[in-house]
Amino acid sequence: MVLGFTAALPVGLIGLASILVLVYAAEVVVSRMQGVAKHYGISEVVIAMTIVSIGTSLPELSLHLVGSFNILLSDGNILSYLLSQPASFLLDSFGVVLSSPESAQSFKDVSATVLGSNIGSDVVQQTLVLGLVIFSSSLIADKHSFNFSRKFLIRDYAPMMGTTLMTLILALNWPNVINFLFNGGKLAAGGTLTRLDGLVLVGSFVAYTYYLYTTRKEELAEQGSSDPSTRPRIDFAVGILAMFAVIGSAEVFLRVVELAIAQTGLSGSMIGVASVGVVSAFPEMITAISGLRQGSEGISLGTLIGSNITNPLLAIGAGSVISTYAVPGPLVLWDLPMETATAGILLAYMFSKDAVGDYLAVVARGVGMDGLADRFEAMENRVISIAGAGLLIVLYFVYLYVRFKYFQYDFVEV
Amino acid sequence: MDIDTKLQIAIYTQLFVAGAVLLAINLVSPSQLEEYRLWEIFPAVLASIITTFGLRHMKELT
Repeated sequence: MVLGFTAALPVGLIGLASILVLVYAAEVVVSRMQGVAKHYGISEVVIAMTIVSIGTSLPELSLHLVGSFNILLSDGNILSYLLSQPASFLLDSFGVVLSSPESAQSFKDVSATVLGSNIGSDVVQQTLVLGLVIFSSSLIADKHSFNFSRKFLIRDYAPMMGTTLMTLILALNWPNVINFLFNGGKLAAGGTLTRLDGLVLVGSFVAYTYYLYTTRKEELAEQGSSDPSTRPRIDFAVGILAMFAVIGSAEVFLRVVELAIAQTGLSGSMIGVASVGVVSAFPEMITAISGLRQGSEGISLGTLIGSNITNPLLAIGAGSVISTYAVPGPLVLWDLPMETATAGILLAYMFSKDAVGDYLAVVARGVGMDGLADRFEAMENRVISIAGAGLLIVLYFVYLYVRFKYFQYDFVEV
Repeated sequence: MDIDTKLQIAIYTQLFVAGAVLLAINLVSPSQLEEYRLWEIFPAVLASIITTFGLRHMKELT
């Protein structure tokens, strides 16, 4: 039951409303708190690294925190567990101490939903939104291509791929995968994100943030520039109220999903991917497009990709430290590999496009297609054409199709 | 102190803390560690290495 309702239509509407409140209230928190921080003289760099960086991932982060505390408080005595079995506390799934079947099921459902939302949101941003931003940017500048800066590719895009790869490594059920590869049997590749894994993710976030702080002050300052608040106390109060709205809506959303899983048999990660995953990518898209209109492509892409680094490192990391997560199979078999491969291929292509073009030009000339060969020769590194941006957009729909057709079940019993 | 040195210190601190925690658990209750195999620690070590090397190379490349 959610807010007194059990029927599908009202519960569905409540679910939709909760996502919209979650995302909109998070925006209010970021804008108000930025103004308040500026009013009290906090530097733009610090604002960019704290409020803006964490704020753009606030919907995902709050969903993880609320979900994790729900798991933690659902069953078992956490303190006696920590004191009596510290190694298990650090290296095992929290599922081992959940005694009732309801809390064990809820652990799986909540884990799948929050992880699906998080990674789903990243996939939308890295394919659909990035494609749209490049497309719009080229149209606004009246060009046929978009030029990435080398700095952006190395300092933002490559770390984003690294975080996805790290999450994949940590989330895999290694013994099962190794057993499957060498001995056959059933594949249940979704492992556990343990507290140790969570510490590694959060530690990496701190290290990356510190690295940016020491090496990229001016650009960060641009991201944190905002007008100081003229009514700091009122803005602070509104920010706090919006924060409560964020937490409340995250709680309501998770209840709606649990009910939806029980009633429809849909998997939690799929609901997360298709609902929060899509809606929570909107703010980044709006920020990115409005940045483009103001002529600041660097900030647009920086915010977009930066949020894809914060999502796995901080949101999944913090959630894992609190409660650990059971990882749904589709996440490690399709979502994360597809995300890593897309980023890896795009990155490799951006840095070798010149050489690839020259090679293809030789082949084209060999078969007498001189016009095509000239076009291949003109290919430059770090430039993506409008067609390339279109390909990213198409890739998102391919991702969704495969996800819904072939990856319907979160957990496979071995 | 440059960022490279700081990163090196960070790696050694991580390894030291991880080792110290495992040693402490081993001292308090040795049987707990016997139940765990390498694959429960190795993904975390691998991920930490990715972060550290990634950050070092980012500095070299830009």
